[in-house]
Amino acid sequence: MAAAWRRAAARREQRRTLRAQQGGDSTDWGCLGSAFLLFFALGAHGLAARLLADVPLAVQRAQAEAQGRLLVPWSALEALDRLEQATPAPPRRRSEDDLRRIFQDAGQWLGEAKPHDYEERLLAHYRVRGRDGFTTVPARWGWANDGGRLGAPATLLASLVMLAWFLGLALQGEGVDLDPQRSRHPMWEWLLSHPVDPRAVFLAEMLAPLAANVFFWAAPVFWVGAYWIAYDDFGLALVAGLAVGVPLCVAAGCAGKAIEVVALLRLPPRRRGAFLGLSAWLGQALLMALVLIAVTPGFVLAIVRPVVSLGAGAGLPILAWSLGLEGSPSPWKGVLACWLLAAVVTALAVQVSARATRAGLAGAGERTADQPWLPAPAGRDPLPKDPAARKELLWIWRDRGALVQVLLVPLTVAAVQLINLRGLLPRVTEQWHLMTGAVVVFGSYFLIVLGPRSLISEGAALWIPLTWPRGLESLLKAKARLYWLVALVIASPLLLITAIRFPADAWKVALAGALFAVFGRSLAEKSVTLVGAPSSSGEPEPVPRGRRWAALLGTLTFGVGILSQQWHLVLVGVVYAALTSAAMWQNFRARLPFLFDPWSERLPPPPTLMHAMIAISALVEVQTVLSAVLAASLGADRPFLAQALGYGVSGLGVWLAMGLWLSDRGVQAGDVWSWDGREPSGPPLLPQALGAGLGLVLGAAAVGYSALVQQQPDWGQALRTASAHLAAHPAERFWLAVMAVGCAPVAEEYLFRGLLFRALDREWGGARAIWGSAAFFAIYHPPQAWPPVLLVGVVGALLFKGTRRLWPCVLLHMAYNGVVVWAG
Amino acid sequence: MTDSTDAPMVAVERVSKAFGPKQALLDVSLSVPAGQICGLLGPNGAGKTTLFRLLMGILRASSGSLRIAGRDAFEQRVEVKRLVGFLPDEPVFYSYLSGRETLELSAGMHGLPAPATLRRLAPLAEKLGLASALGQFAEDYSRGMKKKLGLMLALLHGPQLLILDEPTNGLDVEATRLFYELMRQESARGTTILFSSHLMDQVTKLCTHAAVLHQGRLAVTGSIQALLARHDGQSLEDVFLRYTRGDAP
Repeated sequence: MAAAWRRAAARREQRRTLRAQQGGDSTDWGCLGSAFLLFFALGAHGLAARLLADVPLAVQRAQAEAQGRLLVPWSALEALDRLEQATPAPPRRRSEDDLRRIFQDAGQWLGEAKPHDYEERLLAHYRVRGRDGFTTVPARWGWANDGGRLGAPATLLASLVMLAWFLGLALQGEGVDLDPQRSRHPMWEWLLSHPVDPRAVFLAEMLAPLAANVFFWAAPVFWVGAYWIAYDDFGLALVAGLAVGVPLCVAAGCAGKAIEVVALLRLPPRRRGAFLGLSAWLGQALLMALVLIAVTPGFVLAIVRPVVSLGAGAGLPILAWSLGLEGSPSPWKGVLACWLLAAVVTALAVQVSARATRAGLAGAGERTADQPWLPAPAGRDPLPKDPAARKELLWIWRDRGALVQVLLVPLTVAAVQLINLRGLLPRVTEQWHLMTGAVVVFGSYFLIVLGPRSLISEGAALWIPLTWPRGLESLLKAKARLYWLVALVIASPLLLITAIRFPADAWKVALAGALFAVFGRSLAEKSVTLVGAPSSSGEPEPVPRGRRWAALLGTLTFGVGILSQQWHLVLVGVVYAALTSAAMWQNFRARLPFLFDPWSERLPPPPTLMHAMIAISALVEVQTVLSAVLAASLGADRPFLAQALGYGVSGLGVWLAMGLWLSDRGVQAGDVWSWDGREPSGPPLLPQALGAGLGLVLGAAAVGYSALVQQQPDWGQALRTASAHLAAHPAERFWLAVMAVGCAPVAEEYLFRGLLFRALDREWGGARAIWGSAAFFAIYHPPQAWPPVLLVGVVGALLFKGTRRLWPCVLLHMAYNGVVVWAG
Repeated sequence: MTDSTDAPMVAVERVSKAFGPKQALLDVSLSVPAGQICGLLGPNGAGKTTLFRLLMGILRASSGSLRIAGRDAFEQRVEVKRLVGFLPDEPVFYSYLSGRETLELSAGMHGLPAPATLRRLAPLAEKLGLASALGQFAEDYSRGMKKKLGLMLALLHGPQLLILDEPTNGLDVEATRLFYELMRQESARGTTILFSSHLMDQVTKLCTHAAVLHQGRLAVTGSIQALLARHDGQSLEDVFLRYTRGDAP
């Protein structure tokens, strides 16, 4: 036990060291974390035990309802009898107030999600059936004192709860977190080389989970709860529960370890990790399922009803034996039976492990590779040409452990979140955008969970990609593609269900799905940049908080856009996610060579795409705050003045601040104002005249576009109101012109073309960089102005790259803004 | 970019490498001429694997320079990986790929057409006795077979430099002899070979040059003949012990 305890402590210490290596907070919050986990585990076991009270009640309710009777508390039935004797009257004429007083607590007593609805149902039922339409149960707790006869369905279901609890505990393993790669070989070979009985070695090894996992420490609570519910005597339950709980915990730990030993020794290598991963998942999922069933009103009844209607009669004896309900009930009979069971399970686990060891390692036989596609039949090869993508698909096809890592782990994490948000679920299915939004949020969460664990599946074979040119980069991109495909495969049927449920809005669901496909690709690529080098023990490195937040940029906007049916926000989310993906990959590519050498890591030289995006975001944030302050001080009747001054001051401020920040890092102004940092040859006037001319043309086009937009009722009204306001306030118009022509073009061209487009061109290059930077430029403007602004962004980028100067872009922007402001 | 033919294939100049407070290599300088076979010797923890990782561009030197065929091993690591073939001490393979698929994958990632590369490697697979096993999952191979597959991966793209970490560890007598033959053939073709070993006899038989690392420092380097001559015809083992025990002159 002591050795197991030390090993668990060392594992915690290793996690702390990894955090410290990442430059993160190395404070040991282990005690607090363990206390929280212990509290959670106590609650989980307690809730699982509560099912032993809920299940019999639900069975009796289902049986009563099958006979047309409704279940009410004993007190309610007594009160109803008294009322009928005191004031005889037909049910239809009975006072509603009297009946409500009698039935008011019934819903709560049954654990109904909507107690008031149940009360209404009871009232209506009474009017039809009268007193005969109701029945009750003597007591929810202490049913063992009533002879312990629960009936076959209740005994069967309660026994299944106990079995699920035991299996859930046995398959927990040493960690409370899911560990799909749990195939680390303990030091058995070394241990077994000593002159000791292998059974003693395995017994010692089997106690390890008990020392490391708080779910084992809290497990006796289940038995204290079980005895308390059965005998309704807390003192007796405490003694009997502890007496039973501790040995059964040991038995569960031993059984789990025996399964692990047999899997490691006797299964072929490809199935080993998968089996252990699945068993770990099953352990977590069973306990989570018990908690979910216990905390969700109506869930127990929903499970019980079909069992009762099928008339399931073959009861498992687990409940009766473990609680001493056979014959005349006695808890001590149950304690003895559990001790016997624990001893048998423990001895069997040790014996099985020792036998598996004697049989030796298996799995390295002359097996031929299972090659469903290679060589491709009839010359057709359905696998992708890209070798890394091909490898990833073969991984998911052949290695069952991949399903655990790619599907079960994220789905379980998402399921835990669903438990937290279960109250919202019924509402979500009422409207297409809420249902679609939920699918999108789920898909995004799925992608974010997968990325950081990307290299774990490589295991010790990671040396191979390290020998390829750009090996890790290609591999991670391929993994991002795979995760994206899996996310789409999961989201598609859910979206299809949404479309079928809301046929009138099917095209909107399809559009949201298509946009999610674009958005999800960016999110998947961002997610894999959160990867860390797996340590030799398989512990994943913690992801720095800032990086995790950066990966989520755009997700909230995209999700809110769909949930609130604002398509322009959805597009902003798509563009923002694409640009942050490029920015994170630019930084990641610089960091990638140091994945295994964090001591040598250097930051990528400025200005990067991330620097540009942070500066642009700062401009928007500062401008918003400043404009709000100015609007408050200047008065609400001069909105354009506040906006103009706020934007002008913040634009110039951010431009100057960024210039100084870059200058401190060796990037001079000339490096930004020219394409390649060199003074371009040729006369400067021609490009500048070209810029101004193009600005006039684009401005004229924007005026034409504005005339078209005014035909649209909402946008047209807003534009007409703004024009009328400016016409009535020439001073505001003047300051707006000064901002739009004098300040904004300089600051925006510096940020969007000088920094952002240049950095994006390094990352994406070509037309993608031009359209990407222009789209980013457009989303910083009101949605009605997107098309002309997008065009300004495209022409500006082409002009910058073509003339290798930024000033022509500034003149283009000035001319464009000038025409738009002049035209009102 | 320098690519002069008279430059050494491996040029390590005053290289130090620290992992946090731990100094793994200190002021190491080493030069291996093109076409030579150089044995890297040193007790466990001497820094051999760190030096290999530096040469592969997986780690960056804290100071000093490492060049392979005139290219900076870290800054130009993408190009360097096209020139270098690497075999680790304990090669582990993807459990879900056969030997042939592993070779195809590696060929693809080097930008080579997989079928042509496999055809080119077929005689080598026959020679190594691996051809009939290439359809099996590589993870099921014996240790020796894994070494052979690792060697095929290292040779797959026709590298100019082979870096081999204890290559004969786990090979039987026949395979070890075959390995010697292969190394001589590769060297005759102009491939430079740098390998680590604890077997002095192997280094004496196979290598033209040797270098001894001890506690992160280069204790001695030179041609085998010169090393033996400098120490009055002692065996290489005696020379090694002399430097690693710290009683060198």
